[in-house]
Amino acid sequence: MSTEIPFKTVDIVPYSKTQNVTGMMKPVNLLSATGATGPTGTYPVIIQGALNDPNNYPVYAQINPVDSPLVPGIPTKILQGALVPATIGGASGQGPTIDMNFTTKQYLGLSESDITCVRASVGYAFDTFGNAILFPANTPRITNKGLLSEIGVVNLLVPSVPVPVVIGASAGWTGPNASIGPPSVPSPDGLGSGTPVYDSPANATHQIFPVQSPTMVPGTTYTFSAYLRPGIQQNPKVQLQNGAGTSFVGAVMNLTGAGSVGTTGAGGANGATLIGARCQFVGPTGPAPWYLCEVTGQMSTGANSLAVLFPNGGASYSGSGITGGAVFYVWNTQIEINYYASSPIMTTTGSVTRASDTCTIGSTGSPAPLLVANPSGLSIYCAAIPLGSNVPSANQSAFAVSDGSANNRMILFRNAAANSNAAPILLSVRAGQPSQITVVGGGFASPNLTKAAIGATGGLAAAAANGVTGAPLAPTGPPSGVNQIQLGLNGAIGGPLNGYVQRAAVWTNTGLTQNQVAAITAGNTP
Amino acid sequence: MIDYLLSFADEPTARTDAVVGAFWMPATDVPATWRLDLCIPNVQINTASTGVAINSNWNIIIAQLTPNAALRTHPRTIAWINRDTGQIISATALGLWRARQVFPLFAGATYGPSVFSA
Repeated sequence: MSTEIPFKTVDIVPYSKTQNVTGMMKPVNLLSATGATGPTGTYPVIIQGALNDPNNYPVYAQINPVDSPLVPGIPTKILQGALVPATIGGASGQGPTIDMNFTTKQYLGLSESDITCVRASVGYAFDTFGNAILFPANTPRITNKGLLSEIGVVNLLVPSVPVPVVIGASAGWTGPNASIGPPSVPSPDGLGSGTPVYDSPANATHQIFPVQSPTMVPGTTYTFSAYLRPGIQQNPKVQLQNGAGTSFVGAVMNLTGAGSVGTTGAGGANGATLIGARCQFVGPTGPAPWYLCEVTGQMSTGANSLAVLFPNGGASYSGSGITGGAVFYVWNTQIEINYYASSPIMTTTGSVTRASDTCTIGSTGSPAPLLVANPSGLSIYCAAIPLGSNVPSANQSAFAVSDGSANNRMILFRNAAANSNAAPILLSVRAGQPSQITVVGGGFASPNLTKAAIGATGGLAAAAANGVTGAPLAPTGPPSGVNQIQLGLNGAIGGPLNGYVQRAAVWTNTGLTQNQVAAITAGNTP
Repeated sequence: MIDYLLSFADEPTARTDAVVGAFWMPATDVPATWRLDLCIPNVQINTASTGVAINSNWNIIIAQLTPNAALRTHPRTIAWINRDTGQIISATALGLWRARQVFPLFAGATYGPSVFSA
């Protein structure tokens, strides 16, 4: 057992579902520090004991911190043999073999270092405090919101943080009756690049937009998004349109409280379709919050795009000028071919791609630890928060165990074709066997937490989402040859979740029952 | 990280290529797609001064953590770039590449879209 925890003193106690463990578990050898002393020191501890649970439930070592963390913010890494909260499994069930709680960085059976991440670019993920954290390429994006898995997309908007256009330059932002100041306030990435926008004293419409205008394809879904912070006004309008203004989709955003959308609009002489608009509080709490504001739509005719930010809901008015203060502040903006505003992609001189996330554990040649290749029973559980409230353009895969192919896998996903905000489809596949269990109810409805689970044995495959079960199937057994775990995607490496996986668990040789999958997917905690 | 830039007559040709086709994922319960964790399909190569595409080819960037001999020696590979240093390790007819712009690029790439004009 290897354990690394950021606490000065811990209690180590045996644990099982029944809390009825006989035997002893105690430290028998406390060695000297082998690493640097202090908060990051390494102190090997050997623990021995003969343990037995009379009900044959798994017994774990529970590690309880006694002191406060020595350095707040150091991630807790509890590795093999340690305890993860026992809510999964329910009162009548048994705990999982593998349990990964990304929000608390607690891992049972596996550790974070077991995850292989392929993402050929850097990428941001937010924590619950509103911080945009930058992760290097090929590094899983894990914050206290969970593990972020997204499709790869291009930010077509250049530059993404508004800067005033210089005469003769080919990039920058401009606009009538408005001006852009130098960055002056903290931004979510901690770099102080929050940029003020000022109106002019003229009694007119005030607006800013980038001078570069990527071409929009008719019938393709685009999302224009902007991180905005209120200034002396709290109601900017966010609009995506063509250069002539004859096609547009737009919405007035209310930068207060949790954020909300006011008046929306779409149309123009050439027509456009508004698919959705959203205004979400990002953080931090306090007097200077940031909001993610987005509009999603399709243009009816091909056109050069214009991403426009208006003060005062787009209405004409007499501004107060620079001396009156910023009407609002802007951080990153994006135009992407996507049904939602994905995580920030910074651009300066040209469009930029954030690669998709492929986070896996194990492979055909190197099976994931603890997986049973041909189990008599197999169950998986996932708690996830999908991003984007619009209909996804492809299935969103939250969690899977498979042989790396689409032939043998157990997978939890949101079905795009069914627009399954209210009816996620859970798929359990074994070659030649009936494959789908449709769960009516529950929901992968962003930004709500969705919990889903499948259990399969010979003769029974049961599934549930958010406490609601689907009609069971009768396969000959669970998927065979399983050797890997996919986080935020499926066995065929496609259809990422586009959201945060908060917790994922595997019962490697146990098939949970209908009642059990219903029980463990009920409630509002991951 | 090594970014390989390859240029094909069109996308179907790239999909059926023996080497590059390995990065094309056939449809399962999701539509067929390029491996977007490693690839940027449909990359534009423009003349910097005009912003006009240099030809009608279909281009793709494929990122690899370590050098990939099959991509390096591929006849359709026109450049490969060390992501970390921004150095063009090799480019076909490098002189012709001056004043070119290539985009989009991977987020975090240390070279800009005008890398070839340096």
